[in-house]
Formats: sequence, C-alpha cells, structure tokens
Amino acid sequence: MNEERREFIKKTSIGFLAGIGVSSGLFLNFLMEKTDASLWSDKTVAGTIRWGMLIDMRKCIDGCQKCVDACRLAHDVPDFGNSSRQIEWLKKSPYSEVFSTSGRDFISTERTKKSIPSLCNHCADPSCVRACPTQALFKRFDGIVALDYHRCTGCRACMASCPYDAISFNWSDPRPAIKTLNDSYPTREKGVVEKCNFCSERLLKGKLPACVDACPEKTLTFGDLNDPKSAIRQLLEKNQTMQRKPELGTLPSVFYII
Amino acid sequence: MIENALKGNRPYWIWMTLLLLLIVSGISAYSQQLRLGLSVTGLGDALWGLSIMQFTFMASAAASTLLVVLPLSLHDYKPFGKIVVIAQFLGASASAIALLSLCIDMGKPQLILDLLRYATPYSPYSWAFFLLIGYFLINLVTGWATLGAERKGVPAPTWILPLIYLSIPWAITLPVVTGFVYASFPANHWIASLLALRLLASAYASGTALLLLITFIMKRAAGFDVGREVTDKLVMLLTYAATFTFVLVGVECFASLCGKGLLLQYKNLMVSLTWSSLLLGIASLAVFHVPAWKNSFRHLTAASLGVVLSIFAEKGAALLYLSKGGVVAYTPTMTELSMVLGVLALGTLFLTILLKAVLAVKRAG
Repeated sequence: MNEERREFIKKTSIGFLAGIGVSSGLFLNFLMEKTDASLWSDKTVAGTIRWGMLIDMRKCIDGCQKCVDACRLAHDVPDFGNSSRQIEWLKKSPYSEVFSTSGRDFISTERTKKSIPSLCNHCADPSCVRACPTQALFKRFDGIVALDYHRCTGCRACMASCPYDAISFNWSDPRPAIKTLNDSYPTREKGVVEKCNFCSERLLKGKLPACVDACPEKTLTFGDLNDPKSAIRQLLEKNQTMQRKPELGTLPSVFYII
Repeated sequence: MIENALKGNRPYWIWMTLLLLLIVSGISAYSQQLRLGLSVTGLGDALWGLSIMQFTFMASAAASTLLVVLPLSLHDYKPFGKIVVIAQFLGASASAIALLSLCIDMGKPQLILDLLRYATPYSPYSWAFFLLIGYFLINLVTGWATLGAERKGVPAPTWILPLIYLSIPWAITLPVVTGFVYASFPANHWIASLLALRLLASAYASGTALLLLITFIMKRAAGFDVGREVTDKLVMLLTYAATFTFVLVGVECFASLCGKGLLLQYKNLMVSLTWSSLLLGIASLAVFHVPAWKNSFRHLTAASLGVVLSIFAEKGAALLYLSKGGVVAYTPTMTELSMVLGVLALGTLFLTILLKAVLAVKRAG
C-alpha cells in the first residue's frame, strides 16, 4: 500500500513537472513582455553623455524660491509644510547643512548666510542604486539616477545610504498635499520614495530642467559633463568649484561655485 | 504531531489567548497602517524604527541555532541531540518574526516578493531577505524531519545532512549580512567593519539566552528537563558569546568617547539606551561568572533575560544614528508598538505550536 502510494506520488509529480515544462515552452511569448530592441538603436551609446549641473552661488538671490516652486509644480511634489515628513526634490538650505563636512572656520559670512539649492547629485557612483534591493533605482545611459515608482517597495534603504538627504519618502498619501496639480508628470502614491530626476521628461522634449528655466539670475547651468565644449565644462575649467562630500567617493554630478 | 497544539492545560490556554489577543491588536494596527501609510508610526526624522530593530535582533538571534547544531553535527557532542530540534524551531520562528518585521516596515508590502524577483547582488537588504527565507525553510524542514524520525524511533533521514551542514555557514552569514545593511551607511564611510562582528557575537549571546529561557520554561511548565549537562554547556557558550559582545559594545562606546563621538554630544534617548544596555549586559554577565549563582535557576533566568534585553536595546541605539551623521529623536507610537508586538506574538505562537509537538514526541519516547 505504502509502496503504491509512493509510486503514485512519484509519477504524478513527474507528470506535473513535465506539464509545466511543456506549457512554459508553448506560452513563452505569452508570459513574457516583449522588449522592442529597435527603440534603443538610435539612443546615445551608454557612457557618452553625463548630465550635470553647476550652481553659481555668486548669482543666487537669498530668499528667492523660484527654482524650488518650479520644481514642485513640474513634478506634482506634495507640500507637507515644515514637517519631518516634507517631500523635497530641490530645496534651499544653509551652508552648514549642504556642506556639512567642509571646514567652517573663519569663512566669510557672505558664504554662510545664503541658503544654497541642493538636489539629487546624480552621482557617477550612486550609493542609493547599490542599496536598493529591487533595482527600482538605476543609473541611466545619460548619467541620470532614475527611479521606477512601480518597483519601489518602500524599504527606505536608499534614503539610509544617501549622504545628501536627497530622497524623500511618502509617509502618507501625497495627492491631497499637492498644491497645484499639473498633468505633465504622474503623481505618486503612499509608500514609495521619490527624488529629483533632472527633469528627464523635459530633456526628452529638448527642454532644460524646470529649475534651470525658472531661475531669473541664470544661477544654474545644465549640460553634458562629458563634452569639453559644453558651457558647464567651460565654467568648471575657469572657476574653482566644489562638490558635496567628495570624500565619500560618490562622484556627484552637481557642482557649486561658492 | 501538530494536533498536540489543541491539547493543553489551563496556563497553556491562557498563554495562547494572550498571544492571540496581541496578534489581533497587531492586525488592527496594521490595517490602520495599510490605510494611512507609514505616517501612523513615529518615523519621519528617523528612517527606521522599532520593527527594523526587531528584524535585526531576530535575524541575528536566529543564527544562534549554529551553537547547538555545530557541536552536535561536526563535533559529535551527543547531549545536544536533546535540544537540537528546539534550537532549530527557535531559529525558524525567529527568522519568521524577522521576515514579518521587515514586511510591516515596507511602504508597499504587496511587492514583498519583488525582493526575490529582482534580487540584487550588491544590496545587503536584498541578501538579508533571501538568507532569512532560506534559513526559515532549512530549520523548519530539518527540525520537522528530525522530530518525525524521533517519533518513529528511527534515525533521522540522511537527506537532511546536507541541509544541516548548509545551515552552518548560513548561520554565520545571516548576522554578518544584516550588519552590512547598517555598516554601509555613508556616516560610516561605507563600511563599519566592527558592526557586523558585533552583530555576530550578539547573535550568539541573545539566541543562546533565548534558548536557555525556553528550556527553563519547558521545565517549569511541562516538566521536560534537558538535563544538567546541556544547561551547563549552554551557560558556558552564552558566557563566552556575551563576554565578547559586551567587550565590542564597550569598545564602541570608548571609541565614541575618545573620538568626540555622538554618545557625548547628544543627550537623548540613544545615549541612555546604549549606556543602560551596556550596564545591564555587564551586570547579567557577572551573574554567569559567580559560581554560586551559576547553578541557581532564578539567577540564570534573570541574567538570560538581562542579556536579551540589553542586546535588544543596543540594536535600537545603532538605529538612531542618522545615516548621514548625527542622531535623531524617535518615539514609537502605540500603533507601531502594537504591530511589532503582534508580529512577535505571531512568531511566538508558531514556536509554541512547534514546541508542543516536540514535547509530545519527547514524552512518548
């Protein structure tokens, strides 16, 4: 009796496995989404573009919030006010926060009194991408550190690993907190992280990032860091610039002239 | 074997009712979180809180199964045969608690299986999840098979041997990888190498303390005695592991003091947590070193509890460090506490049912 049962179980399992094998062969195309490789053929080859930004604090006006507001509007970034659960893609904060590891002894008050715009640095060696357990955060062909909101599990490992506090988490439903709803970018839901995307949706249409467009003083310069003739490279060539926490080796793509 | 969970005396049912109540309150708290998001927790400035604390503690405590399995399977230390199944079930339950704790901390728990689907080799978080699932299955399967064989009075099947050998490196990797989740914070300049070691040592201390407590409870409540030799051996292992742990915690505190570290700069919860954790740990450790107390049931129980609490508190202290440097204030909400206790109760219920089966087999045999 026992032997028979064993034999029966053996045969049914083999049959079951064979069934799975055959059906996976038959329905392969049905189960998997097809990728159209031709879509990528005319895209720029990986590694040839690296978008970057230079923030010239000599021009920045203290108290002006135009870049921050433009960013909020462009991406439907919710506003939770001055709480610990505020969501920020681009923010202006004091020197001591933005350059928290740089020396502050005897530096001119000119430097320290102004609040400095900070955003995702789109690092060449991003620690958030390494920390993300589902590859929801990834590095694009053009150097932008992008985020797939649908794949994010909300574990916040990226926030813990980002030295620049550039990633925010949706602790509650963000939609009621959006001041002016804009249809050009999808809203997010509770339980996912979000951050600056260098306006990749605008770059696609040949436009500059919203913050760069919004700045009346041309404080922000956006361009290809890999192109020696670009405006941003020219400025980097001629001026002494800073990156945030360079000692961590993340190679930020956002530079500052203080 | 599992049907034995339905038979029990009065204290057993009181215990089970208590656990069920905690689970129900946890579920109601969790439904609130599902509706309102993680805003129901005390998090915000702090990224990770109580549930991740429990995850870290349980993921490492689970690994202590090694201290029973290794002497038994590699060094043929026969007396541990008596408690190996208990240790394996403890490992399985602790892994389950750790997994659920991760789940209740996720913003989108419905995507939890994506952690396997898109498993990422360079993400420590991803590894921790994978290792926990594996460890849960290994311990449950080998424990159950060993118990089944014991019930029939036959030697354990040979196919579980490779699994048991696999569980040994697995148990070493689990706390190390869990430590790497925090060790790779930018404030630690990507690698705080001592942290993984500290977790490994504390894993063996806290897990063995839990195991010792379980054998005490089984002796009290069900009259199942593991014997003097096993208890002594467990106490010895616990003493070594705890000594090593608290030396490492002490080193950390000392380094913070000398390096003008965070412990002195910020007078808040974290400071008191780390210091009281260390003091409690050292006090408990002292009990194990006093010969007269070492044989006293009460002293051992208190000291084991002290070790468990101390190590749990130390996990919390590590969490309140901001990843980018500095320390944040964090007070868990009642909702959060209910969820964490609910998960703990669920795991304990699971362990109780498994141990009930163990008791039935041991009594019959």
